[in-house]
This record gives sequence, structure tokens and C-alpha cells, in this order.
Amino acid sequence: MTIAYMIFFDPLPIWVKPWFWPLLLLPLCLAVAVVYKCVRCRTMDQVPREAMGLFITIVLGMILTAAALAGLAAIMD
Amino acid sequence: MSEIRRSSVSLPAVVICAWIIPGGGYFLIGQRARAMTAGVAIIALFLSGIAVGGIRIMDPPGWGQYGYMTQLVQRFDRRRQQTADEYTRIEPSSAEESRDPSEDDRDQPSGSALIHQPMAELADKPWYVGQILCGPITLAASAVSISAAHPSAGSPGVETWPSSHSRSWEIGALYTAVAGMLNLLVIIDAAHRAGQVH
Repeated sequence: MTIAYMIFFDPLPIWVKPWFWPLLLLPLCLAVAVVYKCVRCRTMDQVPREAMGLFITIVLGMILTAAALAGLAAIMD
Repeated sequence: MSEIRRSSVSLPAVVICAWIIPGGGYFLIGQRARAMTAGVAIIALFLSGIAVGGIRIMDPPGWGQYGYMTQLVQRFDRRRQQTADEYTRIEPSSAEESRDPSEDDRDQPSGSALIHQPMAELADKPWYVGQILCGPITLAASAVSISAAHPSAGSPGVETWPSSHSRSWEIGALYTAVAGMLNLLVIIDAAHRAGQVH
């Protein structure tokens, strides 16, 4: 198995130390939100507010997904 | 009556400029605020990836662990007294081995793996497809990475700058690959805006 696909088999352990690895996803989400809204917004005045909204949506979505998957894993254990 | 005209800048020029400098396509069609915002976000993400994972996360297809081009060799099978049908992939650890990767005089070096099996090399390092979309900054970082991978004169077989592993490598590769894919999004949008009728 090439290392390229290991991230899908060995995901970030968010429930054990060191706990800072998942925090590194925040700059990634911010960049995605800013660039996406740069593309989508008609005027640049809208970008800061729209990008912040998208950033919060992505982060909340990831937290909810992680919680749901953690719950599923706990039930299956 | 409003004038109907297309952008005065040609579409290929916008696409090429957008690839060379992230956000450059927007700049060319006069959307400077959009160019600065997108360009800074993409370049910052790319450089953050290198900051997290080190320069060695730039791992171009066709180059091995020690920064020399991966070579293909048809080994001589002593038992069958003939050259093997299959190629053996060699990652040279020195300039000498890179020039002549054969172990036996009867081995047949076939040249660079990147030239003979480009898709296999690319499939081995698919994250580079995303990274290269960031433009020449990727090529420059790859050149530095290859140079940093060469073993120093005093310690053969040991990389000058070892590549990072595990999480830092994963996060670094993810940042740089996503930066490249965001640049693709920006290239497409800049081209679309350049082709719009005003």
C-alpha cells in the first residue's frame, strides 16, 4: 500500500494526545472558505462576511460529523 | 445603448498567468482586490503546508528518496542465464549509482522511470497532481526539496534534510495539494470572467 492512501486508513486520532493535530484543519478550512467566496461573490465587499459564515459552517459540520462517528464507534465497541 | 464587448485580454493569457501566479488571472482582467485575496490565501496555504511538513513534502514523481531520478533496470537472471522480462525500480542513493544503477555487467539499465512509466510514477505520488496546480512555486519548491534530499559528502546514504513522517507529512501534503486545487478553481473562474460579454 502506497503512503498516498494511508490517510484514509489511519485517520487523525482526535480523542488522544497530542490534540493539536485537528486544529491544523482550521487554516485549511479558512483558506477554502475565502477562496471559494472570492469565486462566488459578485463584489468583494461581501467576501469577509460570507467567508466567515462558510468557515463556521464547515467547522461545525466537521465537529458534528466527528461526534456522530465517535458515537457510532462507541456503540459498535 | 450599452456597448457589448469581451474582455480585451486573451483567454489563454489569463489561464497561463493564473497558473504562474495564483490570482494573476484576476489581476490581468482588472479585478485586483479579488486577485490579492485569492492569491494571498492560496500562497499562504501552500507555504503553511511547507512550514508544517518541511520542504521534503515536495516529492515529485520520478525522483527517489535521495533526490536522484528513479531508474529502471532489467536484471540479469543468473539462474536462467538471461535478462529478466520485468523491470526493477532503483532509487539511487548517489550520483554514481544514478549514472549506472546496474549491479552486474549483464544488467540492462533502461533509463528514467519517469520517462518509461510516467503514469505509474504519478500514481505512486498522486498528491503532486494537486500540488503542481499551484504553478512554478511548486517546481521551485520541488527543486529545493530534491537538492535537500541529496546525501552530504560526509555521510553517504543519509539524506541531508530527512523527509517528515506521519501527521506532519500528511497535513503538509494536504495543505499544498488543496492550495493547488483551489488555484484550479480560481483559474477556471478567471477564465470564465475573462470570456464574459460586458
